[in-house]
Amino acid sequence: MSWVWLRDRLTGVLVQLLATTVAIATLVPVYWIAATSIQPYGTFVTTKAQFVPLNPTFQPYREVIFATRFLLWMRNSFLVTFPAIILTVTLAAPAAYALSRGKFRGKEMLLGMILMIQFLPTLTTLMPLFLLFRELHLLNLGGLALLYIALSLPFSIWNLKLYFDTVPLEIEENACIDGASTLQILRHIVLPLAAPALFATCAFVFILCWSEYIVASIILLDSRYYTVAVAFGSVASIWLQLAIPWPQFAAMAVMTSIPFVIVFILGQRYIQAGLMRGALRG
Amino acid sequence: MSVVQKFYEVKRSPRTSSPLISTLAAVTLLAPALFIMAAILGYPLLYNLGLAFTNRSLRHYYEYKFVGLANFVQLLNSREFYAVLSRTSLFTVFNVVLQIGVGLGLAVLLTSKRLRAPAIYRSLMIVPWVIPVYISVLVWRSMFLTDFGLINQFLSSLGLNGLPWLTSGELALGAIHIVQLWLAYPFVMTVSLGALQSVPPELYEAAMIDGAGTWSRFRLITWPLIRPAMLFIALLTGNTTFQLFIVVWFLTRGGPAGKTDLVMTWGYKTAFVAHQYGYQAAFMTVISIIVMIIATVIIRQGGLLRGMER
Repeated sequence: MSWVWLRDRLTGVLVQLLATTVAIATLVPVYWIAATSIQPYGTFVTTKAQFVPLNPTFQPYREVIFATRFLLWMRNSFLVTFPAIILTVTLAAPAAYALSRGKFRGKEMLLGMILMIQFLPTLTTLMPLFLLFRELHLLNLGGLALLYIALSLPFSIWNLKLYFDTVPLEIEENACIDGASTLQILRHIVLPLAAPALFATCAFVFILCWSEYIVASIILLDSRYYTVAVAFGSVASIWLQLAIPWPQFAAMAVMTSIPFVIVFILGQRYIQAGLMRGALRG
Repeated sequence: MSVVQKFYEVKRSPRTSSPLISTLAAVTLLAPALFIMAAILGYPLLYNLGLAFTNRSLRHYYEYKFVGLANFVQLLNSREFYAVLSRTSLFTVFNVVLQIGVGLGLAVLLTSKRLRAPAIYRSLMIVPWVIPVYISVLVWRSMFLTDFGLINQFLSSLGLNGLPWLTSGELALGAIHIVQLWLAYPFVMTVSLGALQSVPPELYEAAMIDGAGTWSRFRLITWPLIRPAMLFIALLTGNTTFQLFIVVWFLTRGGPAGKTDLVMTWGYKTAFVAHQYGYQAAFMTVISIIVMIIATVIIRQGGLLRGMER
């Protein structure tokens, strides 16, 4: 009896230890960037960071905000992200509803195509788009928003379609009998019911727009129109070759992550549910 | 009961014989989204296919001409193409196995009854997912630096020699493996957790009564039930790993001497550094066909679309 008790206690300790080790290993880069961002540049003459900051200061944040174009880049990111979110949801919701409720020839094939297009490598369409957008003078924030909408649509449509599939038909049928039009049903019944899925879609588009780098780095040529992602890429590639103002770099990283973290925490439940909906069916 | 229903607490309603909306209404609702996708994704895809048969480049930007299969011939005769493709494939398979091993292992750990405060560990472990990728990769780069990097500082504090992480070909590929694993495991873990929780607990109780051990319970009950979900994860994460770009670009730019170039960084260089549009189009056509075939086979063979249709 006591041997079993001992074995159970030992397994418990091991399990706890393993989980703690993984969690710490995971968090080291995150801790390090946060710790670096509040160190004065003076301690970096040796370009060696202290693991525990001895003289914490907000100087790096002040320098990034007032001495770089950081706020402009943040504004650009928001200018791309918000129209992209609103238009994606406005386009995806009706399409998903039609794919959930409608019955027409070629529906299965259309669904299959929308699914498969997500596996298409971005670079395949990016290079032709670069050539085309150049002719159309769309190598700017507007063109980037348009691209993000197109890239978000396939996933958004599928995600919303799967959600609509789980909403009972009876309410809509009754409304239909009472003479409501399709648009009225969509606006007053279906969309309010689908609020969690719509929110998940918004969060998904936000995360895509905020963390996307390749497309933005090709579409945006003028540093005044950089989104934070592109700014990061170009600033960091210069910094990483020359002397590196690590605290400023870290401060910029922390500030850029904040909107992302907020959206992620708000949308976490829905995002995970949305992902799992794709992965698991009963 | 499916996970979807658990999450949204709604019941799937029975099939109705008559469609709720007319074909005309359906087409009208679909048209705007389809138009955007056709214009921004479909048309460039065809344009890419057309470009693959031309010699368009920065030198021949406007006066390019049809060159038949020349680009494809050049591609299939290039040793670099095979090197990059095989490196990327090996990298993908190895890293996906790692991701699923670690992700599923941690998910099992988090569902263990012996673990205290699993919710806290779970929130801590999904942190890599919550930071924009380009930032975490740059942070990792700073940690991998040979002279001042945190990792080598740690190694030297243990009395070991520092390693040239980003300047040696093999080590650089190892560094990319580490970063991609760090980035991807939270997703795999989260979806695996959902899959594990969808296994009915009665099955385990029955197996316990029959005297099945931990391993045989996992192998005989858990694995068969979560297999479709794991296959789906492998498909998604395999696709993103195959198309790895930011990690490589920000860590090594494909260097040293192209030893860490993967498909996407190589394609990016061909398109936007060397500006060989025709050649790049041929390359991406070949890659897209390979990706599409593999994805279709996995989706079909794994029956991943079964039950998705209403």
